[in-house]
Amino acid sequence: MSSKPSITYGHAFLDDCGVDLMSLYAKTEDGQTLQALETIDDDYYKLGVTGSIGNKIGFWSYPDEGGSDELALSSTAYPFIIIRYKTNSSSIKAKVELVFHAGGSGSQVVLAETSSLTWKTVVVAITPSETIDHLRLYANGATGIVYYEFILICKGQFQIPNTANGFDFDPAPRYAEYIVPGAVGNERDCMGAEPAIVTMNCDLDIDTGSIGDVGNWLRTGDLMKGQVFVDISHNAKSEPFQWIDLGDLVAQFKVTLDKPGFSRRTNRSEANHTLDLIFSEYRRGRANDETYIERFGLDL
Amino acid sequence: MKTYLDTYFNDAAQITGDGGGAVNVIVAFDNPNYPISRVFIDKGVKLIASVGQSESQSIVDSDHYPVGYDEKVPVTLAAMDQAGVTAILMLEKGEAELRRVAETYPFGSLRRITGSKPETEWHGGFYIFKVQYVFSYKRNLT
Repeated sequence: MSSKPSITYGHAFLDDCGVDLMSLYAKTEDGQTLQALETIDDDYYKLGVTGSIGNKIGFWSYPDEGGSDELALSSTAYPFIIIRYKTNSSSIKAKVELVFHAGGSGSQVVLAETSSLTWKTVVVAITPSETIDHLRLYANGATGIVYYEFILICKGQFQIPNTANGFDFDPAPRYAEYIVPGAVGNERDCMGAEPAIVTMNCDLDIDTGSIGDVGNWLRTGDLMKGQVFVDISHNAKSEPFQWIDLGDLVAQFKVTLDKPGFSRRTNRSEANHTLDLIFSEYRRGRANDETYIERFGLDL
Repeated sequence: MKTYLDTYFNDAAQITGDGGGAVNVIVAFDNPNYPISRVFIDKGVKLIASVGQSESQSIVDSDHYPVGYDEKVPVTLAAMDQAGVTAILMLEKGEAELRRVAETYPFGSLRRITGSKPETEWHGGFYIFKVQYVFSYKRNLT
């Protein structure tokens, strides 16, 4: 079955698990003894647990449990949550729960208790017609560490109808080359590297289904084909990254959309409407902390 | 293609005979099991727009799955000299009408005329004046 690339759009809530929101989380302990919430490399949260007895439940809530603050997000307008996590052992369990406004269906466990020694990302549909009040990041079941790398609630994942004119994924080698003054040839050093680049060349004249359907260039209400990329580009100021799934190319990771290029070219007897997309890998932490399989989400 | 022409070709009786009145114009498929001379003589048809067999090439996405087709469909216009109808004039009116349709309705599947060539034939006693146009399509999966 065909597997097309997709990309998130329309952020409602993003915690990139840096220092920005960390101090706003509130702790609840029911048998788990939680260490202070930490962020590692300003990139991911570390939920350390030093004691585990009784119900073995412990979690951090955002914005809080009391109800004085709330996310107040419509799950109909923002029906998807994406979570990236891992654990340092198979005993301690990650778990994520969304708590809805009073009067709703209560809550939804969007990540059931699970362990993973490598980074995993899950995309979950949120129960519609609810108002999301707050979220809980758990570290249950044992002592150890649960890591969360990001939590994103968004409008959706747009499936790119085609990349019929080309699709390139360029993960650059992890070394830098520089010119040595007075010498011929480049010097290599592992001082850093360029991010991976994804380039897609799409044919806007080809799509399937009706407007709003998967496979169509128009979302419901869109006025121009490929409008989602104008949406992403315009809102890049407040949406630092998008989660891309490269479809049959398997990889999934964070990207920024560097440039959407809408073209209308003719060759006398034919007009072609095309869209060229250039994405760059987005990272907050060093790639040293991940295997290449984790970095590009090859096993998700 | 035939549905497209049935809908738009000569939809307001744009094609007229030498004297200016409406004439019998039909859209058909190539290679009918019926003598063409009888179409003109017995049926009184003045102009035929005949849809031929298409050439098709799939447009494949980068994941190997097809996402559409590029197609070429020949449409042949044919006329005979008859009372009140000069074939070569009828052919010119048909060509003008075919171009009008292509210019006015390029959407749906993306259609455009990409070429034409004369194909007039001597049939032992009479000429059938013909010109073949090629419509190129880009269309989505069926």
